[in-house]
Amino acid sequence: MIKGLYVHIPFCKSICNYCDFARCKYTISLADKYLTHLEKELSEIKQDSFYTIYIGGGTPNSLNEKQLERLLEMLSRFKVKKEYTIEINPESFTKEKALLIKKYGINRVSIGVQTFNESLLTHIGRKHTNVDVENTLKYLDEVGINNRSIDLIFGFKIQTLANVITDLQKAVKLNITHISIYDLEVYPTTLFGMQKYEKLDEETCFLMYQTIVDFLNFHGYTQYETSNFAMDRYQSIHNRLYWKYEDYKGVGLSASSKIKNIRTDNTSNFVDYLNDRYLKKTTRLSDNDVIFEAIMMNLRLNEGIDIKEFDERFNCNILEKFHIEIEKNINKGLLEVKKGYLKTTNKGIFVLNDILIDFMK
Amino acid sequence: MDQKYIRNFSIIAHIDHGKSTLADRILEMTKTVEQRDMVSQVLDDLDLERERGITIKLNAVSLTYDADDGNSYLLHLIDTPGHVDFTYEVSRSLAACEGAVLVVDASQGVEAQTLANVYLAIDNNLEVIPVINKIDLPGAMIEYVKDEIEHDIGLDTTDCPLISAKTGLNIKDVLESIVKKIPAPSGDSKAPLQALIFDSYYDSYRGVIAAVRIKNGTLKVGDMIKFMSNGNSYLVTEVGIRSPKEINKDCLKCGEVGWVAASIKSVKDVRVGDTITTVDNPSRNPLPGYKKLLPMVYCGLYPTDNARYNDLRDALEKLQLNDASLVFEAETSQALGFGFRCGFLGLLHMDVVQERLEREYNLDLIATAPSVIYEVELTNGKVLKIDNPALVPASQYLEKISEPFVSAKIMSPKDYIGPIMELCQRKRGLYKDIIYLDDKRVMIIYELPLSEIVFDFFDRLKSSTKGYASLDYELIEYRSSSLQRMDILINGEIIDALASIVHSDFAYQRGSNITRRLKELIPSQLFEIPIQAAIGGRVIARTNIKAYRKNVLAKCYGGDISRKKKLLEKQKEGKKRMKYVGEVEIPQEAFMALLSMDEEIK
Repeated sequence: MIKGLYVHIPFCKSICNYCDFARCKYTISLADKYLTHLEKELSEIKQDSFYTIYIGGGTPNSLNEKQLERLLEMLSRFKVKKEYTIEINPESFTKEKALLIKKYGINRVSIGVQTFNESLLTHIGRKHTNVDVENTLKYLDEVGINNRSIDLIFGFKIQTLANVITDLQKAVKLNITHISIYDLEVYPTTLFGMQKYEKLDEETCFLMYQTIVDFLNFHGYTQYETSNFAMDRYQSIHNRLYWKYEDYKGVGLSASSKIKNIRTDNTSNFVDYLNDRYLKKTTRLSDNDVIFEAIMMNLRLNEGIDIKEFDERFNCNILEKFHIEIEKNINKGLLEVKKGYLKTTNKGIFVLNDILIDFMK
Repeated sequence: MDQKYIRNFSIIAHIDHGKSTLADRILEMTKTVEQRDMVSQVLDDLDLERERGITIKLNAVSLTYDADDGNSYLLHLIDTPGHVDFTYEVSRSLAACEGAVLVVDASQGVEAQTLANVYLAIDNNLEVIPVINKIDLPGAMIEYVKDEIEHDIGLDTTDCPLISAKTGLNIKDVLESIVKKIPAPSGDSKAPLQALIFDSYYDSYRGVIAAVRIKNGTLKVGDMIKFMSNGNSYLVTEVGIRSPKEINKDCLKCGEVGWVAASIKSVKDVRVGDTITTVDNPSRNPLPGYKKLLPMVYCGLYPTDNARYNDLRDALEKLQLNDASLVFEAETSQALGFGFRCGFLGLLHMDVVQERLEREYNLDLIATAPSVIYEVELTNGKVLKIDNPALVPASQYLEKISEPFVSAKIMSPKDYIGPIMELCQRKRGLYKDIIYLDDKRVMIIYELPLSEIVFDFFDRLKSSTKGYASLDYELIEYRSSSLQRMDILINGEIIDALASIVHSDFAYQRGSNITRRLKELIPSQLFEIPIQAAIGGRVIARTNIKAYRKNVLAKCYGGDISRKKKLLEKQKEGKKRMKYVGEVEIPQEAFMALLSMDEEIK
């Protein structure tokens, strides 16, 4: 059975300077049409339950209440066994929407905070304020959704190490249970990309990243993935499915699915999507593709690759098949084998790409 | 055809001024090539030539033109290469002509390369017909360019054809001028055979084909011929012309241009500039101007993938079939593995060979910086000739090192005397003379070490004279200099492929320039990498490449896998172009870093 379901809502009230996801400006009528076609796509799913559902975007809460309810209603035919997440942006979140998501069983929210520094928010094109964040948390308190994640970004050129630490302190103070913190990546298709935005230098970003890891560890957040930190039992179950290279189904604009050795990519073209031409590409993954991708995803997890499980799932004794590559990286101090796991060392975690390139055949 | 109806000419032009386009139009107008068969720029055979806009192999085409005077003329268009490395070949193909058409771009005016080749043509007593091209362009400055041609070159522009080779405008004027102004060839058809070889190429069925101009006498199928430089004799199996396809004939007559096949096995036996005569009735003297060409510049060529060593050898052997001036022999480098030390006429020749190897034979190559041949006298009295700096022995075994010096003639408008002299001085030049050719132009003569010229002299000369200066040089002698081997150490290891011979006065400066350049070229790696320049074990310059710390994708969720995998594949592709030396990955360009060691510090 497919474990996770991802639902993409591509609408946003405004487009951020760094964002390269499939997204577009929200209008009521466009969103109505989109939901109609999304419903069609969903109706093709045979399964009636998932471990996890994740509604991401874009900004799912850019939908008005009626539309949000319509979306949740169409998803309500799936039983969610473990985790039901929605991404929200603080500026379009309301008490009513909080009640709505609670009513439909959502038990985790991921909030696009990015930074608590308001001049930086302007710099990156975000429209919300800290008051919006506080209100969002208040509404969630009121409906009793306590599993909350926030997204943060570092590496903007006007950001200092002190700014980053201030953001983290604020997150700790607000009792946030999960933090995703990303080193800024400037993509050519974004506004920043077009402006040839120069992010902070590598040296400073590395220092920031190290400081973030140390700071969060000290405050009781465990790093379980390259950019993800969680208090005790609050790791993201849905995202872990990706990193464990489990099967997932994605619906909506530009969503991808991986089911056994087949990957399907939906179109990123809005017009195609609204004409029911959802699918852009189907790729049959070879055994070697599957093995490489599993390694690529597994090694992002701090726990690494469960060697025995890997053998059982992919019929591949990784220590044998890659003994040269593994030995080379162990000698460089980048990988280690510990308690049945092959994992990155504290040093290797920062240079995962170099390690992965060796595994690429 | 009667000799008086023959015209032999070349086209001289700066790159992009429209030489090949004009040639195409002439072929069309004379119906030599039907328009539908016209591949743009027929004369440039090799892809590479077409792409770089330079002509490497010479080529001659015969065409028939019915002139306004009612006569039918046989025209031979002889193509010329256009770079300092091939000056000798240019001069030989010009020697096969009586005239030249000088093409000048109406919007650009007279440029450096134009000047250099015009002088070569004038040296060879050619009638030069100026033609102004691209007059249809909005930026055309016809009167101004005419003025330039009159004053800077000294050619009359009264009936100068004004054309657009692209649109075909006034091409007939060019053909009429050729017929009227260029003299008919003057040789004696009854005299013993003298045929000038101005090009050769290899054909796998018939052996080497020589392109020749019959200066005196007649060349017939069945003749026993002799090459006057080496005395080798052969039986002529075929002669003919190209139009542009080969057309066989019974004989080539006095004044004509064509090709000859005689079951000759190696291009090395057919030297450009040599004279062919007959065994039965030999000419007493060869034609003037023959020179034996020797490689002046050497470099190591290595496959990035060591497994392709044999492929590289096969490719070099094939190229050599058509390129007598290319020499190579196997060598090994600790840093680069198995490869070949190759000799070239000059830097462009080196570039062209390298590019052909990469493109036509699909090889990934690492080239070391070019070197000259040093004469090394050891303390035990032995003298070695060394073409690879890494092989120069340590200083305690050395009595002295000598290096080739050339006499360099630089022709330039007089406004640039200052920068040129400054450059020559900085390149260890010895001032010899300065000759005022007229009130605008000078010829500056310097004696320079060849090793300085093979580095970046030509580029610098061009950039400090806005491209106007031209350079011609010839070897004069070996002179002993205060030279030493400079080693480069990366991460503590001597990289043999980066060794160079430097003059002691410049050692410190060059050592620090090259270490700095290597720092820019070698990507930072997981650990800090020291880079040092050392002479005789003593470090004279050093720098460090800082370790990088981070190379990881910030985000990678379910929808990102394919895209991020592509990113990794790209990173891996980048690494393929690297050579591992110990633990350090060194990109190809780094092995050429020596070329920039004479840069001024900005």
